[in-house]
Amino acid sequence: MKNIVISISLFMMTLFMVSCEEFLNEPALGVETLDAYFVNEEECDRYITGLYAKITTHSWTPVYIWWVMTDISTDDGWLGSTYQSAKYVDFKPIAHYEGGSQATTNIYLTDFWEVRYKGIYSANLGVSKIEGSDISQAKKNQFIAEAKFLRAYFFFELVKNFGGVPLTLTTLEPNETISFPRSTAAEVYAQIESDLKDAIEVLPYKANMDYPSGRANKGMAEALLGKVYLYQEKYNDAYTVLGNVITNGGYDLEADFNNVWSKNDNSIEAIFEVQTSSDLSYTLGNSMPVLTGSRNDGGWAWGAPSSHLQNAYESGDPRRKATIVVSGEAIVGEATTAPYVMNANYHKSNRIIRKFYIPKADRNTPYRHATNKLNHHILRFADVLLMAAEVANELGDDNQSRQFLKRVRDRVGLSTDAGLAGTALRDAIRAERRLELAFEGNRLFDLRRWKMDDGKTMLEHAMGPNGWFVKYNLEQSTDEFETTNQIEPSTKGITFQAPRDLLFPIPLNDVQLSGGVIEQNPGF
Amino acid sequence: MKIKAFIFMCLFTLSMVGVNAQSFEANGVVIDEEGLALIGATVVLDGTTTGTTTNLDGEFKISVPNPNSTLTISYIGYDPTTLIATKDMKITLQSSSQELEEVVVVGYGVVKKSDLTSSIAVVKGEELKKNVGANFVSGLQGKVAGVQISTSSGAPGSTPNVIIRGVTTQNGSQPLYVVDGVPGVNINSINQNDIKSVEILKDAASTSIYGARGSNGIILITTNRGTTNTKTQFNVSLRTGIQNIPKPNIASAAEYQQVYEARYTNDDLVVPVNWDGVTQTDWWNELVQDFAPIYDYNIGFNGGTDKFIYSGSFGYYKQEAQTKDKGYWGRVSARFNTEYRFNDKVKFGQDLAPSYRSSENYYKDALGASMQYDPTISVYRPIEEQEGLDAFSLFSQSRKTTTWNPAATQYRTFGDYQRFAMLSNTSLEYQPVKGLILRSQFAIDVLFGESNSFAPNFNLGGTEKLEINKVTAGSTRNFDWVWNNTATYMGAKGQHNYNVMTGFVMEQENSRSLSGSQEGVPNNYNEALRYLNAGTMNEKSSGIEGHSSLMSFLGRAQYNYDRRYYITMTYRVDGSSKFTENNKYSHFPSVSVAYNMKNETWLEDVNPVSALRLHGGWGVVGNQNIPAGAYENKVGSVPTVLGNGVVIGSTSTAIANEGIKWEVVEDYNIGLDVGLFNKFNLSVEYFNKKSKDMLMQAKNPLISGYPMRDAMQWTNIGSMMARGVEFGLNVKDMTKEFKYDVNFNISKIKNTAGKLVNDAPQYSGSFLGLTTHKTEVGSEIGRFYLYEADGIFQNQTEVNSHTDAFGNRIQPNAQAGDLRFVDQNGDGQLTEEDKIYAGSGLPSVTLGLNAFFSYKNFDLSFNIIGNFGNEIFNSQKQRIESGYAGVNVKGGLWNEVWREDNPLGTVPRLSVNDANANFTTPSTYFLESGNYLRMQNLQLGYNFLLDELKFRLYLSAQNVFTVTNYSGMDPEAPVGGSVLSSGIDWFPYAQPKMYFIGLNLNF
Repeated sequence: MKNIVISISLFMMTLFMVSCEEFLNEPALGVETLDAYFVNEEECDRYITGLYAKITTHSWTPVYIWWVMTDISTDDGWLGSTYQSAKYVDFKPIAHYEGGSQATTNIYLTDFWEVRYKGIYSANLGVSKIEGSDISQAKKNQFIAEAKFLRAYFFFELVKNFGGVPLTLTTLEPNETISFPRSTAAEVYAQIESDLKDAIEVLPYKANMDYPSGRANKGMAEALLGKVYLYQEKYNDAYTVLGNVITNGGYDLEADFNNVWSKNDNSIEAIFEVQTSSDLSYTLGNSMPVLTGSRNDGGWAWGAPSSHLQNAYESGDPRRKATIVVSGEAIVGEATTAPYVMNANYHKSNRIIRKFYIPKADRNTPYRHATNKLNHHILRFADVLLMAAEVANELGDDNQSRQFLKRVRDRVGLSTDAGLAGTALRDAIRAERRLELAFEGNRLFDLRRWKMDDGKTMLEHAMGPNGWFVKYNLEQSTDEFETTNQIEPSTKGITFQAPRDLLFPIPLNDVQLSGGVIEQNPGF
Repeated sequence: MKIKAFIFMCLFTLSMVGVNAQSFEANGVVIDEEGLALIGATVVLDGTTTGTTTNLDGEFKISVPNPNSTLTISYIGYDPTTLIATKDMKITLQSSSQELEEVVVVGYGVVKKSDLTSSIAVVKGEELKKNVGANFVSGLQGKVAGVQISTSSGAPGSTPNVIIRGVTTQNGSQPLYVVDGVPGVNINSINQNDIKSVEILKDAASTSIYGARGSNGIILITTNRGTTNTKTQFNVSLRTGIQNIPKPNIASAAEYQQVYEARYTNDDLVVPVNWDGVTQTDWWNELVQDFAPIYDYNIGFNGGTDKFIYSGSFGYYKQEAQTKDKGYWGRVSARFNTEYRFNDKVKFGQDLAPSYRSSENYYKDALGASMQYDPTISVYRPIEEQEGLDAFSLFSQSRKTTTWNPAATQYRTFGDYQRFAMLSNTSLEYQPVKGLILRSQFAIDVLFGESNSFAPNFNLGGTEKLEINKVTAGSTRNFDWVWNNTATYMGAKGQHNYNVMTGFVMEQENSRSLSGSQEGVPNNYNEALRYLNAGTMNEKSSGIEGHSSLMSFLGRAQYNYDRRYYITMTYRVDGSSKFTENNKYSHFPSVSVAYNMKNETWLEDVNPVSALRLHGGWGVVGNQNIPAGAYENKVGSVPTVLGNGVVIGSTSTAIANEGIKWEVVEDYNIGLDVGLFNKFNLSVEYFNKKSKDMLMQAKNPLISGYPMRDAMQWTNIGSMMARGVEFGLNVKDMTKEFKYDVNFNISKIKNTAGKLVNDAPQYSGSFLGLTTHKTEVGSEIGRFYLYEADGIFQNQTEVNSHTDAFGNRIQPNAQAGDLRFVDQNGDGQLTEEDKIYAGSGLPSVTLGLNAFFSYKNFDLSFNIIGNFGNEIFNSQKQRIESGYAGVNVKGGLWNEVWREDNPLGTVPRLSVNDANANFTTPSTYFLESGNYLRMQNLQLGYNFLLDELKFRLYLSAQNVFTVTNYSGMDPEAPVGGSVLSSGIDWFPYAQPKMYFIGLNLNF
């Protein structure tokens, strides 16, 4: 027995000599760990650089497609493609205002919500980590200001789509996320204002930037803050910051409207622009050209202009052809004057958006949705001028208001009635915004905020069984394409209900996970 | 017992034939259990060197001195037997594997079957060989109570899902496979002909010796070994067969057009297609071959001297895919197991098992695509359009369907996958004193995988094109090693028998991968150019390495008193690299007891009761099935564009839960085994498993903003319970000319959620982006949660009267022919609250019937499996009953759809817009019973001898027939998968029917 014990002991002892701790330590490879990050300026700079990728995630879904979705939820457009009825499940419940669980579980709605909160988390993480990093105070201030600018932009994107949302300003632990309630829209706006003011204080104007274009600067932050004030009808505050942008920002209108949406990237008119690249090694292009392009021309045909929008352009307005391509017409800016023909069975309105169209000579080979270079305007100077015009009108300074409006109309060779004032001027500015900024992500939110004289929003007047857009399509329209192709029904908007459809629903996922702490928007 | 009975019979006979004779000539025949003559068996007169051997008919004659003389008859591979010599003896030798079978392989050791205290099922290699497949797992189907095996794909090379005793985790239900003591071996590299036996460890008392990885059960695989002092035996097994998937009923072009047009005209829309010049294409015939061949050839040998034992094999397996022209899965494998005994104390073993697997890419969704693709489109463009186009662009463009021309897709699929695996298993055993065995085993499992594929550029029009061709190649390397060290001491003192084992184990898994792609290969046709070097642009590469390690101490003590009272205790401490410092180690104990009543004096002589045993156990096992580094917060690179150029930024890519720890499962088990008349064996077991700290990728609210998909994070949240009863019955008599061995088992299992994230219900499953399942705390997991469709509106009056109490119409968009959805809460709206539980996606009852019969030279065996109590969500209906997006429909749909002139139609009306969302609402309309019975295997064999060679010629069939009401392709396909969303059917690669002819040869 003694021998046995000795044998076993010896046997086991040789085995214990292996080092345990080292053997059981196997971190994941090929990645850095957060705990060891943010140690120098370069890492902080890389991190802030990465934050800009969150604006679109450089992918057609969910941001670009959501931008399309908001514009086709208006009188400006249709879902468009009647080729791939598959996608109806994804687009129609939102854009046709059908409500119900098809809307609250909508994949693009949910993904857009998710990606904006991912941006906010990253910004929060950046702010807190860079705050504690050991880098120069100047750079630290700049990086934090950029992160705050982006956080403000992401929250603005949320609040205008969904109303008050959970205001997450720190990197939350899992248990903290569970019962995190919605803040009011006013509280969210207050935070956005605060972040933008912080950014404005630190960041230089475009001309004084010592870092690459495309990153936040003072003009960008002021222009965005102007829009934030405008959406809250804080006209005085808006007037001040918009005035600063106009006077000090270093921006102007492009001489030719056709050059606004073109290869003319980072132009004099550009304020906040998504930067794109056609480098085939990456997928950093603008997805819009293919996403909204013709089915007959390598596109997917989502987001088609309506004849209702087309009819809104006065004759001689060059923006009509610079905004809308109708099948059978030549495309402005193309080398050829041959008609551009699309299959009416595949396209609801047989129209596509010209703004995102890339002339054939300028296209890359291959022509792919992920690698088309066309910087995407989020804020441009014409928008600022029209916001200023609107604000001045609301503040009773119609003279100044007309000047801003005139500046925009002069560019496209249209006269401005010097006698416009009061609500007539207001309506003229509203009409101008639609025409100038079509498919640039403004129309839906403008319709939601603009009130008619009866106190109801313009969206309520446009949609619903008696809405102008619905009546136009069902009773008045003689458009040969839209009235014929009913694969996407012309009844769009007939199921619109207020107040339900004045906001999009909160994704059901988060309502369910919060156990009801996150309350759903009314009517959903 | 049989031998005893035989001896008794012989003695009886002897007393009859008289006591007169002294010296006489004894004679007889020596046969095996199956009644076949044993040629060359040795017959020796005991106490002498006199002997003889049996002739070709197994007969012998030997002169014996007196009637009390005894003969010892022996034959290689059989147990020798000693009998009193008589005239006309009939001696049945039992094969020695029968003796080995009494020993059951357990973790890190073996135990006599009668000494088992835990729940372990044994399936012999012979049983597994009846089944043809890439691996042995489908051969286990229906063989063992409590083990649910379902094949979700009939594609060559696929591995079935295995669930042992229900589900206690959301985090992978697959068991751990251990080959000759080496855990984690890829089972596809194991040739099932090399398997001697498979032990399935079902309860925690048996699996807790595998600690951290035991919670889903363990499957131990033991490969063939030689035996000492045995001359080399060869066995050759050859079989070849064909596979066929019965063609489903697919609508003709005419019916398709009828349905297509009705979808538009029913919605008052203009039909947007002009049918002029359309053709009729039978896409199934274009894409699917009627008979796909399958080959399975093996040769094996084994034997041994007093010092050296060996066993080896070589196998070839190839299975073609059902798709035409390309696609196969194949394996060439070899194995050489050796053991050398230096002396009585030291043994050295070395096993080597190289294998090579290869597969050719094919269009995996060809079956579903051919059922859905527009039959009015021709395969190729019209001749006049073909001019100047390359072969990949000759195909016609699809029209308004979600799938591209499937013939074109199949034609341009190029590529292969190759894997080279080597399992090396080295062991050294030292027995310093009697009863003590020190064993050290070091095994290496290497796997190299290589893939290469080519996507030619083509243009069929529209978006159906690829502008630039592309070559992709990848390689993976897995290098895993395990070092098992055990010391076992066994002994006995009086009635006390004991066996103590202690061990130390280290394991490491290492993986490395590299992949790359290039575009712009100069031409599409030159096969020599389908490699990375031929690419000209857009070069991309990626690669990573990963490691995880495990270090463990383990022990087991077994004790029995007088072979009546048994107790076994095991203990394992596991340290894992997958957890942080504070949670690295975990402890896994178990205790099990057994009471063998048959060995009690009061039962020993009660002959009708041939066995009576009660056993029970308790144990704790774990689950660490998470990726390495799951506890780390990670930062990765992200490219973006700033300042007119590409810049590389960084971003957080994973926010981890640093506190994650082991998932543990606690398990109770109690069982009773009864044997009657040496013929019937009955066993009943009850088990109850409960997990806690269940590891799962919990979804956090999206407002968390975590960078992971759906903000999912590995978390220890939740608990699940699985309870069940297993019943097994074996009826066997192999002693007569008509032999039979029939095995029936049935088990009932219920899986319940004990705790979930925040105790909130968990929604899972997906149908068009909407959830289909819901799991709530305290109730069964993985149940369907759907709107109730209770019929079709026959007219507008019915639609209008479908209201709430206030007269509000519940389905304002509905019309006659649409589905009626039940407003369960009567609030006038259809919301989440109106969904109901509509049955489980997991079967509650599974059964198996395995039968073997033989009479004279013939043998017959079959295997029937069955699943009951589950529902299937037939999501194919969304396509083939609606013509959605212009896809083809099932044949005869026109007569099944509701129309005013067909009010008995059971399918909702045809409609493009489907305003009532008949086909996009997850409702009970899609639900069908998943009950089925399937004859999985049928085999008829004929045995004969030819020149001392033992032949068996057989015919066999697999997936012979299925009894089910399910209307989809295969009721087995949707079962399994993710446990919370089981039962969703979506155009599976159905299991083919297979027919074989085979030949076995032993010499």
